[in-house]
Amino acid sequence: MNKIPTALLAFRIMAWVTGVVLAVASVWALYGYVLLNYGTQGGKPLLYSILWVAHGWLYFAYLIAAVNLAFLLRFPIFRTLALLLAGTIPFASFYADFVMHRYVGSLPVKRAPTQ
Amino acid sequence: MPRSSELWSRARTLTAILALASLIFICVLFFFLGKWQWDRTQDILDAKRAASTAAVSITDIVQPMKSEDYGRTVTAMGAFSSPDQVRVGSRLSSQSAAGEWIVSSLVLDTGQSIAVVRGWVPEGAVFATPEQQVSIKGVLQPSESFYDFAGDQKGKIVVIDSQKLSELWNVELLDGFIVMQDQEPVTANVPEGVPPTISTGDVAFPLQNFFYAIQWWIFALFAVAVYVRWLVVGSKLRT
Repeated sequence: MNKIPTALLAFRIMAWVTGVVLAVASVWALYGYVLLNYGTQGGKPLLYSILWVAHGWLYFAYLIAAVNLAFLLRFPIFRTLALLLAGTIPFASFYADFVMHRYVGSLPVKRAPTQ
Repeated sequence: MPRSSELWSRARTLTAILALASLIFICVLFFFLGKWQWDRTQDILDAKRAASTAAVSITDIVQPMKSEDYGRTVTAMGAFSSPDQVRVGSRLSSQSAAGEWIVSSLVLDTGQSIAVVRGWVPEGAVFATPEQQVSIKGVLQPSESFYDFAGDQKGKIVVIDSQKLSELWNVELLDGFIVMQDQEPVTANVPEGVPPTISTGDVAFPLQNFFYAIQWWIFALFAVAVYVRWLVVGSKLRT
């Protein structure tokens, strides 16, 4: 039974969803703190807070997907940690998704997704 | 599942001990990060509550009033306008006795006016408006919109609505009205105080900090789960 393609797809979905939310929230934070009054108490709109909280929960789902994939691919600890942290750095999860697909694609045929 | 002896032998390898040490470090770190966000949540709530319960001058409240202004304790200085007084029928005292409320127009030092519920009186009791300059403290309320259908009767009003009072008295009034709790100096004509319908509502909850606190703790649990799974998967590999 080959679980890797499913795990890879789950990771891709979470990497993109989490990545997009994080990217939007980060750009918003930069804009808000530099140009608006987000540094002061109560300066932030509700949607902004919700977006960050949403990223927290999405990142949790991302962690599950990433750990699952790392276990299936028998990743060493530090590579696994790098994969997990990619969900907290803006735009890093997109790169992680690219790297993971390239890596899985380079594996021997019996592990690669069947066409 | 691998046997427990396999798990145990794997748990004693150098890698597993280092992993366990990191796990403990992560759990302690995440616990305190969560605690920090939790304390922040409480601090922000306390600060906001303190700020919202502090009395502000009615002239400092920006017009038109916003919903978060209602329920705030306000102070106002001025003189009641004696012709502009009206009774609100069928209102209870703080002890639930039937009677009326007295609403007067307070002309502020700035020249603006605001409707003030001075208090409760027994039905028909005569209450003149104090003549002198007063300084009052009370709770800001939004104009009432219930009982709108009832219509006014026998010189009494039913609904305390700044718009309608403004037409009745033919003066410009600020939004809402004040339920007076304190008047300085105390005059002979201070009716019995009534509790405000809306007292300070709770302040906006610091959602972000609260959820961060919970998330840190969940991440700590997740780290434990990953460690256990890693141990189990690793043991399976060895056999």
